[in-house]
Amino acid sequence: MKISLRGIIIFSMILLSFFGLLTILSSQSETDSPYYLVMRQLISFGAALFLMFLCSALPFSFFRKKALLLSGISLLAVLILPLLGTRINGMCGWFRYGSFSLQPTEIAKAFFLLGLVVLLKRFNKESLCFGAGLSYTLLWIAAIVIQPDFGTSFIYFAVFLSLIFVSGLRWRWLLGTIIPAAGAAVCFIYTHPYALKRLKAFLEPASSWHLQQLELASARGGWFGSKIGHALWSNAYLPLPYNDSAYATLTETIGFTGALLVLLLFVLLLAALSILALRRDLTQESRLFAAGAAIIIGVQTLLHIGVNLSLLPPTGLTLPLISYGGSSLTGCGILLGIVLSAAKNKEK
Amino acid sequence: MNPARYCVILCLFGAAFICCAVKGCRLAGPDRARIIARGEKIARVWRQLPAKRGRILDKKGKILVWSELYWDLHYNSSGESELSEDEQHALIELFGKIDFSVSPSTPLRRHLKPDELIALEPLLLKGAPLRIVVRHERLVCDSEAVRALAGKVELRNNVQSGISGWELENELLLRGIPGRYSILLDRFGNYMPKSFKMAVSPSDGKDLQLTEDLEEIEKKFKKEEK
Repeated sequence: MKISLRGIIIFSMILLSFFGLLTILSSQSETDSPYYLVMRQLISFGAALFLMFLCSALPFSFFRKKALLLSGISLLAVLILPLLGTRINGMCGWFRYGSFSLQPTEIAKAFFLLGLVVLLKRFNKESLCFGAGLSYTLLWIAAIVIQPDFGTSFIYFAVFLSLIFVSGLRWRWLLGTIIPAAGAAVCFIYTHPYALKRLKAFLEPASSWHLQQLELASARGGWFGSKIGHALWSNAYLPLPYNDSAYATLTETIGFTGALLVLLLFVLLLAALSILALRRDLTQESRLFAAGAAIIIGVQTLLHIGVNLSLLPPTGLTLPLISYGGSSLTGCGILLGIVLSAAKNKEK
Repeated sequence: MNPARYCVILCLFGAAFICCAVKGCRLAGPDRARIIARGEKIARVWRQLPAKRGRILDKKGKILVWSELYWDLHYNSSGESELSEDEQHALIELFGKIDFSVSPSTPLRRHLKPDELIALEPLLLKGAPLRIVVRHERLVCDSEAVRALAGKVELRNNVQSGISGWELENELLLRGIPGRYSILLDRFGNYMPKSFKMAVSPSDGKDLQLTEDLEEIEKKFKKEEK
């Protein structure tokens, strides 16, 4: 039986989303209406699947031609958030209409990547490629930092850094970006007391209430987890158990064995995307887009899981395909849909 | 696209995934007991379950003094959360006028009836910052002599202790041994469902049988009073 990369990507996406529904159900088991968020996520899952198949049906040349337009519209949506958006948990990152809300930075990830890939391949001169890519990324990061959403802006920056690395640009460009960025990160930590507090708490885990609760939830799951819908600790102690603490909730529900299966599914998804990125018969842009998609999903997944296992200081990032959130899920659907489209875009 | 450089990124991803798997394995295996014990320390609270105080009977076995079990409604102990408008409204609907400005140690409502307890259950399960405290109240039969001679009890740490009269004289016999149970509280101080553990069941106090019957006690009392 021949298993196609397309099949692996779709299979991983569906199975991971299923684990997401399970996580949300467990995180809501002690509430008044345990199925409310599950039903909403199920609708978002339908939308994500539809968008994934729609994007995969369109030719990659369409996305390449419209890259800057799509990226421009998304950037505009992110830019007007401080004026028209709704503030939730101190972050002005959502458009809200009744019970429907939309987080543009989640959906825009695919279009940001598309724009960046096109810019990095547009110019022959290396300095021009780097300059255009850097200006473009900084514009996006500035728009996201205003909200302020430092976790997502870090993902955008990591994607830029990784793409200039894999696209073969010389080391000096990379170092010329990393050194000022590291300086900016240090300044940021020292000028934002909450960031410094989080870092100190991470360095002294015994004093970090949040990290202790995350560890506890995972430990309670043991090897095989508590009963489904019986994630006692996640319900009672974890902040946003269906979102920022989704992996810990999942581990408490299905134990280390189940959580390892989820990790392996992510590895499978990243492996499929990486095989596409390394395929010589695809165009450079397609390969770079597949690599970028793997980096977005990989970095965000590892940051989320790292935080939930107390290996990293809290960042507030969601787990792709698993955490509750329609924007995040449909954003992933669009991203994977464009990758599937890129997989058909062979070198002539 | 530089495949060698991309492989470097993949190696970093691989190493990070292995770190996550190892940490997850440690949490599920070797470190599990230690971490859970730490969590129990944070969230598990131990409470006393009062023992029923023994009765006082006359020579013929007539009950003169006894204890009744009551349930009172209190705010929960954390004091971090307040009742929402909906929760206040639900309580008013159930009990009528209610003073919400009391401290956590003062009951919002005393002597809850069984149907009121059942009606409160959904509100408590929804996480309203309330708790039900079990209490024994000492009752005396309708006799002036017994009331005067039996003495009084005082509630110390939710345990009835005799402070005068027969109650004090026979304290060791009448007083039971309170039980101990534990529950887990969430970060708002609310009870976490299915976390109840009984550590020691309460053992009730023993009955005291007097050597005189009620009539004799009353006669003797009146005589002494004169």
